[in-house]
Amino acid sequence: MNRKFVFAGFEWLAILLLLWLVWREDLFMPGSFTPEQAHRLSESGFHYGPSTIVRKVTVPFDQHQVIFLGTYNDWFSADTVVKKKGGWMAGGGVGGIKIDRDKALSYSWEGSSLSRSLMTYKFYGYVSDDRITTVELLMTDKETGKLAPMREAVTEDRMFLFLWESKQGSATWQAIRGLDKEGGVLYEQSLS
Amino acid sequence: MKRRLTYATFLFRRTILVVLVLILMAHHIQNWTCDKDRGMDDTIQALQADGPVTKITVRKCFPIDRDTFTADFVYVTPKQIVVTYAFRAEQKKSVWSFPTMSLKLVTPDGQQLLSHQAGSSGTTWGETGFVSFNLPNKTAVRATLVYDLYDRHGQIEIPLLKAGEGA
Repeated sequence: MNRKFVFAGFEWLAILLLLWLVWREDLFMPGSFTPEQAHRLSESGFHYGPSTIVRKVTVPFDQHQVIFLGTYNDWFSADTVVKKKGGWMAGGGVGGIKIDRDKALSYSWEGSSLSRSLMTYKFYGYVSDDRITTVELLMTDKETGKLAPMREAVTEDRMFLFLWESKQGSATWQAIRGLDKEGGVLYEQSLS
Repeated sequence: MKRRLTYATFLFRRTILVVLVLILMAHHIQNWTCDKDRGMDDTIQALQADGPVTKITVRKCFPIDRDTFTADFVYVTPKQIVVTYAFRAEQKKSVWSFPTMSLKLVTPDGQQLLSHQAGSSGTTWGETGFVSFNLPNKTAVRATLVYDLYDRHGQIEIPLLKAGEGA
């Protein structure tokens, strides 16, 4: 009886050891518990940053995506992390884009598709000219031919982010503009 | 009743033990096959088509944050220079593949050679891969392999023997 008891004890110990081994290999949790942690790991795994997070944005039409706007030295980035079954994982846009100080604003964009029919677009940038108070993205809907501009007020963090979902190629992108307080165009870059 | 309970715990314990052992075995067998299949031999074999191949051992490394980049060998053919490398990542989660095409090869007289092909395969500890460059205009006996991305830098002296001779 006593021997059996000791044997059972050893088996439980073995189970604990195996559980530790499984836990160490991250078999069931390839992602992270928090979006912040996934963002940090994505940056260090890319050998960039750690960037200063200036804004954390949950994608309005998809709660499973979080974007971190950040700057690091002379670069800006909008890193997407995505919630999947195994936790928060790296999405796209981890690497920084160089801020061009000679231009009023620097921008970049990225399209990704999580479902088959819709594309998620992310258009982001950094405003160098502090006279710019509003950033405007001019687009035209191809079907209706109507102008569909997107606007964002520039705050202290100097970064802007436009997010939208659409079918690929359903809109024509015309220009990215920087407007001053009176609505005058200070900067315009054609996109078409 | 007591006997039944003892038997139940015994069954429970054994089941967990067996399941855990199976999970770990499957995982490690998968890792082992992943590491075994490097897939680089074909690339090196294909170099024979260029003509005589000179293989030079490099085995030098530089750190990128906590990770290590190692240039293993350089193969010089009448048409190209191929550097094979190993990239060891300390971080296990969210490691992006190594930006192989960002590697530059610069000759002592400052010519930056163009890379036209690269390949890599992931392993459990990082990845192995290769990158190939055009031959220099002037014969070079060595060149510098440069990693320069964001504020991370690293470089290695690569011996070339007589790359570019007769080109």
